[in-house]
Amino acid sequence: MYVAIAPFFVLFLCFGLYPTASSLVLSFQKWNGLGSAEWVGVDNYVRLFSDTTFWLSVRNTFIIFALSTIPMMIIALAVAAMLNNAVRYSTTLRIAYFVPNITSVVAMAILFGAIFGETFGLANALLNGLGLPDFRWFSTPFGIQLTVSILITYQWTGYNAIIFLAGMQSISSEVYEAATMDGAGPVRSFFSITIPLLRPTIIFVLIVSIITGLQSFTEAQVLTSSASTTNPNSGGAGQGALTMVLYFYQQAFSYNKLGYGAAIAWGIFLIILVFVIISWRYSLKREDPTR
Amino acid sequence: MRLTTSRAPAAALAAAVALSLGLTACSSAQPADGSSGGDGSLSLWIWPGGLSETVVETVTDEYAGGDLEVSVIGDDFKNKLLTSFTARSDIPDITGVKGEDMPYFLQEPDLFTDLNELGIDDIVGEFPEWKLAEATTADGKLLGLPIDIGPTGLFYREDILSDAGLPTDPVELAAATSTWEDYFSFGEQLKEATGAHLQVSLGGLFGIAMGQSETKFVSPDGEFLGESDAVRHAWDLAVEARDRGLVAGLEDGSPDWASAVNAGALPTLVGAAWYAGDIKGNAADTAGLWRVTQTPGGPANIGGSFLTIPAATEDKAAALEVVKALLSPANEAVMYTETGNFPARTAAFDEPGLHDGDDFFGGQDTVAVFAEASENMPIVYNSPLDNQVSAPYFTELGNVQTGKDPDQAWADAVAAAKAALESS
Amino acid sequence: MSATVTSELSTASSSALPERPAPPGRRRRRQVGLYLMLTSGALVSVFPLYWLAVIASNTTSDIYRSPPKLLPGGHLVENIGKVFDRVDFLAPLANTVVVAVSVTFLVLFFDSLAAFAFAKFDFPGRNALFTLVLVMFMLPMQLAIIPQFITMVNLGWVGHLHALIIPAAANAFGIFWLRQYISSAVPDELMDASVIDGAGFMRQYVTVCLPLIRPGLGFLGLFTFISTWNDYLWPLTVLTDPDRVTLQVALAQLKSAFGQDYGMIMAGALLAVVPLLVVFLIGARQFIGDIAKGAIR
Repeated sequence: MYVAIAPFFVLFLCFGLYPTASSLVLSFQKWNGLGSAEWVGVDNYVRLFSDTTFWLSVRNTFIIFALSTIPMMIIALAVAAMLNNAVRYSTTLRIAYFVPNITSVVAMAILFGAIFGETFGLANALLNGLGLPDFRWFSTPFGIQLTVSILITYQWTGYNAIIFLAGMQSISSEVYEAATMDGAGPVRSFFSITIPLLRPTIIFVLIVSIITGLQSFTEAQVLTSSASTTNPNSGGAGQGALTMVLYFYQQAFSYNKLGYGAAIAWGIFLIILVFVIISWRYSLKREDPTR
Repeated sequence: MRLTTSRAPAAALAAAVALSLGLTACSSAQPADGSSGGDGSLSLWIWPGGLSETVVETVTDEYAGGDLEVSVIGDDFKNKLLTSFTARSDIPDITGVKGEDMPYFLQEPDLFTDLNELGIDDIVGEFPEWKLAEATTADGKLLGLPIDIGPTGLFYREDILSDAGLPTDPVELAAATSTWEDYFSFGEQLKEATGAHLQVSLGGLFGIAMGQSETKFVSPDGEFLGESDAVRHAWDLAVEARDRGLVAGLEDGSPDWASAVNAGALPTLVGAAWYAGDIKGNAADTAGLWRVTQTPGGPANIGGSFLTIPAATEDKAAALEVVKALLSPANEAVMYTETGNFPARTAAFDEPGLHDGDDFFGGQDTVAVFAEASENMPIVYNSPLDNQVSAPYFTELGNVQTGKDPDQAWADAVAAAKAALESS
Repeated sequence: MSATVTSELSTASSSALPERPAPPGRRRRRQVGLYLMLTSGALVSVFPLYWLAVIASNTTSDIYRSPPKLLPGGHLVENIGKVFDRVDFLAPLANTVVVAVSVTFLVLFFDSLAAFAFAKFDFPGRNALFTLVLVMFMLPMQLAIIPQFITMVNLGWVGHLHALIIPAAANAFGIFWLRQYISSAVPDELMDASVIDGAGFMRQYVTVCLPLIRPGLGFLGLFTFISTWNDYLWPLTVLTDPDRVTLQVALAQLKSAFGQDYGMIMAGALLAVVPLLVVFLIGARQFIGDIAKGAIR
């Protein structure tokens, strides 16, 4: 058993432990990346705690997380259920749903620029056609948060649908047949059979989404990259798309505050940890009554 | 992985490791050594478009000392350089440094060679003093020779200005818009006649106005200058332009910007010489309609870059030869025609063909405009902390653009800028 | 052993949901509705890739035309030609294939081994060790580049492809995923039966676990392959020789300081994504398709 799990831990000891330890040490130092590091104790953490921009980035991250993860889970479940019922062209359809995940994020960003461009974009043309006013997709904090969330949802829904589908496929057809005998329609079977039996997969996807969602930054970075020289990695209008990891990037790599950046990274880790523990506990508690 | 015997996993593991090691071994038979190993070969790091490809090819062919190995690094150039410096390993023999990163590297001059010690007296006079100052430490070490500079100009659509009954001759227009006040009045006329905006964004205007100032956000002693007259003046100009309805409120380089430029909704653009490349690339159909003249309120510099020789380089003399070759007047002229990077070496302006005119600008001699701007450029001190101290002003001007009260925005910007300075 | 049973069940399960004895017309309508929704979703999903091809076959100024061009133009060959002029394509492609294939197989092997142990065996420290795996999944590794590069310098691996392969040979995400998958896909009864047959850990892994988790492996393999294929910062940092980089590092050279030639950049992106699609299509029946024939408990 220990031999089986050894490779992972050996690799971690060789290549993960030293970087992790050194970033922990770094978080107690002040270092610009070139000169010598200066020990500053817990200064970085004290500052982090009172850094309003950091807390803004936490808030932004959770808004984007909610705006993207909730629709993503729902759409992915629906797509997976539909794919589960599709007999013909199923492989082709599955590949199609995976495609946004392999399309270059830069291409996606250009596409989004064309669709959500405020004065010349297709989305506002559509809104106007429906008699609605222009929406400011980029120039307000909420607008940019929504646009980033749409991009994240776009890129990861199919991916999660495939995971859900894998879980659905391991649900025996006999259960469904029994339900059908009892007169349950497809929608009822979905809620009374698929969802409960899919719980382990749903929990898995939720935990993974929390971890990756709270670390999201690429989408925010590419969608707000036009101001990159004067105000790099700042998250666009009103810093609305400044996520936690983007703020870490800005401080560590744009402004060369590597010590403070390390403290931010560990702050992010703690926030994710707390959030994962809460949802883990909650989902385990929820599981009990059904047993 | 369909395996049938119990020893298969071990065999598979061995095979997998052997496969990966074997494949990597054969594809990396020679060790990749980034530093000069005494065999005369030199390594050079640059970002895409930092040097002209033709020039690099010519210099590589002509370099007699051995191989000149050029690495073009797409994104995260500074990160890669920083990692190599930190690890004190695989440092290139010659490397480009972007203008905005120079203040950062000036903090550790020991990582680079002081070019003054290598004998550059014959050519150093041919580079603008204000640009050399950007790569010079307080005690006079010169860490890099400039490749290109970014003197600003006022780009404008001759056809649209003409239709609006406004001056279209570069000299006349420059005279009519020599101060920001005149420029704004001109902008109001332009808007009345065409509905077009004068400026792209508040932050863009603020950035140009700050570029015209001799002081920035942090003094050489590390004092906070974020409340100085210069910063306040630049801020007020931006806010005034907004109040007078002259700002489009777009993000420079965004799709909306590109569409507006194409549609003639932004017939005037203030930007550095290299900005012409942005306009050409995004609005090819408007070729021939553009002209350029001097910036309202005086010239500013945006961007530009340097070639440096790290201290770890063994054959510094050979490296300097390559740097000199890359920056020869003839090669600087080739660079300009090929990439649009404006030559830092003034002698390049005398190269044949450079004053022949640019068809995109209706055959105008644009080089003369930017050369004149370079001559009048102020000498400024750029602190390594400038970019992070200035960032809050750009953020807050973006907020003003979308409706925030300018006084509140100013207070917030100053507070955030002070906090950024204190924390570094 | 379970292969035939599995595929039989899967055909049953695929059509299991709307099995209610409904009038044929209504059932057909339901199927039409299903395919209408699935197809429109698929079209929305494929659109960005189509758009990539549109940009790659047009000039940059066409992209920002208003309304934007939605049809492929005639500049694809020209743009691809520019890509080949600017960067060496084939050698980086070969390097990327070597790295992505090696990493994928190593990850599948090491992760499934560890996941099998975590999912189906009780041993002292199991929960603590698995928690450790989860924690590592949450660790912020963005700062690891500098110390990891120093490790590579000390090992003398800088510039070599195994600097990309060995550290990536096992990962926490894969263990987390496969442990979850194995718990539900490998029935305890089968495990018990194999113990009665006298099978040891390795034999159980090979004869019981592996055949049942191919869909799970398929997904992980696909995901690992894609993320390794698209990796940028670490390959950029650790590979020093311009002739020996990976595809993404090579293609990043297509960007310029200003005035981006998006037609050319997207032609490069298209060239990089085509091999991935080929892997998809070849592996589709093996991998994604396999999910359909997945484990039935």
